[in-house]
Amino acid sequence: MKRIKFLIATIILIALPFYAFAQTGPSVMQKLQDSQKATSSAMDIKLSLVEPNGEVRERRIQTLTLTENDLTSTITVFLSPASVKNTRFLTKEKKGGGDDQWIFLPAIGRIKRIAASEGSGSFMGSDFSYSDMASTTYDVDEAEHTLIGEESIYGREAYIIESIPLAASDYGKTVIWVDKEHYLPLKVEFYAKDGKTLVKHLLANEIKNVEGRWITKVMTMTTVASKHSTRIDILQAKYDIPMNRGYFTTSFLETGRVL
Amino acid sequence: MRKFSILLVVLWIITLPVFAFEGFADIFDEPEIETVASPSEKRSFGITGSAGFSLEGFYDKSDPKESIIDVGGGLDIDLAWRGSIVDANASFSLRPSLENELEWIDVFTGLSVISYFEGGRIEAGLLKKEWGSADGVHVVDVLNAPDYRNGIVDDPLAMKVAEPMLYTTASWQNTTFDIFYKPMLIPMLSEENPEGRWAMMDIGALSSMLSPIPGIDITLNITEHRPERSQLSKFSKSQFGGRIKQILGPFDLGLIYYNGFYYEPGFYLDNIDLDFLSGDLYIDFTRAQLFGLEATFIAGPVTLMAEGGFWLSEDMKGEKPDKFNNKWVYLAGVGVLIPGTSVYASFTYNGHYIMDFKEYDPSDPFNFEVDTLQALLSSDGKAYSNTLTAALEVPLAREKILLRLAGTYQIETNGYALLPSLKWNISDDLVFKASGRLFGSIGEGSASIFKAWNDNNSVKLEIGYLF
Repeated sequence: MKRIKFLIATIILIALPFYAFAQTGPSVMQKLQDSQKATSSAMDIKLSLVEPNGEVRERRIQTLTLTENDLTSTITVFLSPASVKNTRFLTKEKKGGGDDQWIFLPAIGRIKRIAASEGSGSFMGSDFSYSDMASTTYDVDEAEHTLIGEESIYGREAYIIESIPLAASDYGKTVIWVDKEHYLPLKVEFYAKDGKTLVKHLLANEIKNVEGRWITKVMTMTTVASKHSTRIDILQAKYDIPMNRGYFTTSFLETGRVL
Repeated sequence: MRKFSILLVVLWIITLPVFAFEGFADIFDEPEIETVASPSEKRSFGITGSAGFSLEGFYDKSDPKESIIDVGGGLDIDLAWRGSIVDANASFSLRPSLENELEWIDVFTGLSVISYFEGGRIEAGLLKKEWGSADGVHVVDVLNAPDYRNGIVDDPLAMKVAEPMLYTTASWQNTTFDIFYKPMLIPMLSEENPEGRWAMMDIGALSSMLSPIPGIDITLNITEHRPERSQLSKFSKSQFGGRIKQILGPFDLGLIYYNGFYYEPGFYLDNIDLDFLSGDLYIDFTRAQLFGLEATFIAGPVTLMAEGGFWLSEDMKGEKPDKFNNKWVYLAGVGVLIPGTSVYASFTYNGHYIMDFKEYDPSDPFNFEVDTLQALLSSDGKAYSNTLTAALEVPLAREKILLRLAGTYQIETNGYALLPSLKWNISDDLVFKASGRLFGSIGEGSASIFKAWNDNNSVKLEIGYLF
C-alpha cells in the first residue's frame, strides 16, 4: 500500500509540469491579450485598398491611445487622401461599457458627437470594420475560446483557437492561428453569424520586433465574396510612451492643437 | 497686365510646396512618406482646395422654352499658416457662372487669425460658425446671416454669409464656453430682383401684400428706403452672445444667449398716394434677444437632438407694424446609424410660434387687418409654421459613391423641396457630382416659397479636382 501511494505521488510529480504548461484556449488568448497590452501607443498607418482588378487606393492615418484606470481613449487623424484630410475621430471608453465618440469634419468646421456605429460599418471603405480596427480578436472574457489544434503556418508553429463570442457580435465565430513564440495572431478567419460561412480572412504578412515588443507590422484583410482586400502597413509604432492627455479632448479634435 | 498678374499668382500658388497637417509630428520620427508632417512647433504653410466646372440645367415648367443651362467654373482655395501660438486661415472661392454675378462677398468666404491660449483660443476675422445640435437644420444658429441668393442647397455652410466676428472659446474638463462679438449687422441675403429666379416671394403675392387695400392687387410705384451700409456698421448695430456647453454622460447640453437682430428685415409702407399709385417702403431691422438651448442624447446607434428658444423682440407687445414680434422656436430630431452599415438617416421637425399674431384666412379677399410683416413669417395665415426635414446618406462601393437624399416639407403650405445628389470619387482627387433640386407644393397649396420656386427645378453636374 505504501508503495502504491509512493507510485501515485511520483506520477503526480512527474505529470505536474506537463499539466501546468498545457495550453488551453483561454490561456493562449490571455497571453495574446497580454502581449498587446500598453498604457499608451502611437501608430502611423498606411492603408492600401486593393480592388480585385489590382487598382490600389491609399489612405494614411495616425492614431494614439491612452489607457487610464482601465479605460482607453483613442484619437485618430486622417491625413490623406484630400477628401478626408484633417478629419479627426475621438473615442473614449466609458465605465460600464460602451464608448463616447466625436468626429471633426473639416467640411463642416465643427465637432459633432456621434452614435456608436456598433463597429460593423466599414472603416474608410476598407475591409476592416471599426471594431476590427480596435481588435481583430476577442478578449478572454468576450468569447468562448477553444484550442482546436496546432499547425505550422509560414514556417512558424501556431495554436489554432476557435472563438465564439458570448454576446451578439459582428461575427458568428473566429478562428485564430496564434504564434507559439510571440503570441501574435498570424491568421484570423472571420465567419458569418451562422458560424459556417467564411466572410473575411486576415493574414499577418510581416511580424517585427519594435523596441522590444513583437508586433504585426504588415497585415492583409480580404473579403472572400468580393475578393477586395486591404493591406495595413504600420509605418511606425511606439508603446508605453509619455502621452499628452490634451490629445484626447474635444478641444484638440476641433483645432488640431494642444496647448 | 491684370490677367497676367492673376495668372502669375495662380501659378505661384500651384507651385508652392504643399504641406499637409501635420499629424503627431512630436511623437513620430521623421515620416517615411514625405507628404506628411512637419513638427507642429515649426511654422508651416498649407494649401488645400478644389478646381472644376459645372453645368446646371433649369427646367421652366411654365414655359419650357425658357429653360436654361448655366455654365460655371469653380476654384476654392484654403490657405493655412500655422505658427507656434497663432494660426491664420484664408478661404477664397471663385465660382463665376453665366447666370450669377460674382460678388466680393462670394470670393472671401473666410479670413481669420486664431490665437491660442491655455485652454482656449480667440478667433478674429470673417468667420462662419454653426450653433445647434441638429443635422443641417437649426433654430438657434444665430452666428451668420443666411444666404438664399441661390435658393437652398444641401450644404448648410454654403448658405451662410461669413461675418466679421470676434469669437472666443474656452474649455475645461467637460465644459466649453463660447463668446462672440459682431461689430456690424449683416442682413439676410436674398434675391433683390423681385422677378429674379430665387426671389423669396412671387411678384403677384408681394404686390397683394403691399397693397394699401389688403386682398386687392394694386401695383404701386414703390420707393424703397433701405438703411445705408454705414448705418448697419454703427456701434448700435453690434451684436454679442454666448454659449455654455456641458457633457453630462450621454447628454450634451448647451445654453445660449444672443443679443442682436432678426436677420429678416422689417418694413412698413407709408405715404401711400392712391392718385399716383405710389408709396414709400421703409426697411429696418428688429433688435431682439434669444434665450435658447441645444441638446443631444446618444443611445446606441440613435442620436436624439433638440433645440429651442424664445426670441424676445424690442416690440414686446407686438404693436409696431415694422417690427417682428416675440416668438418661440423649437426643433426635435432623430438620427440613426443603421446597424451593420454606414447608412445614416435623420429626421427633423422644427417650427416657430409668433406671439400676438392675428391669424387670418389668406383666401378671404376681405382681410383688412393683415400684418404683412408677420404674415411673411407665418404660414397660411397662421401664427405658427412647422417643417419636416428628412435626410438619408448611403455610402456605396466602399465609399467611392455617396448617395444623399434630402427633402423638406412645410406642413401649413404643403410646399416641398427635394435635394437628391450622387457623388462619385473617380479617384482620390477627382470627384464627379450629380445633384438635383425639385420644388413644388402638394395640391393647390398656399403661398409657399417652394411653390414660388416651382420653375427652378434643376439638375447640376460638377467635376472637381481636389488638391
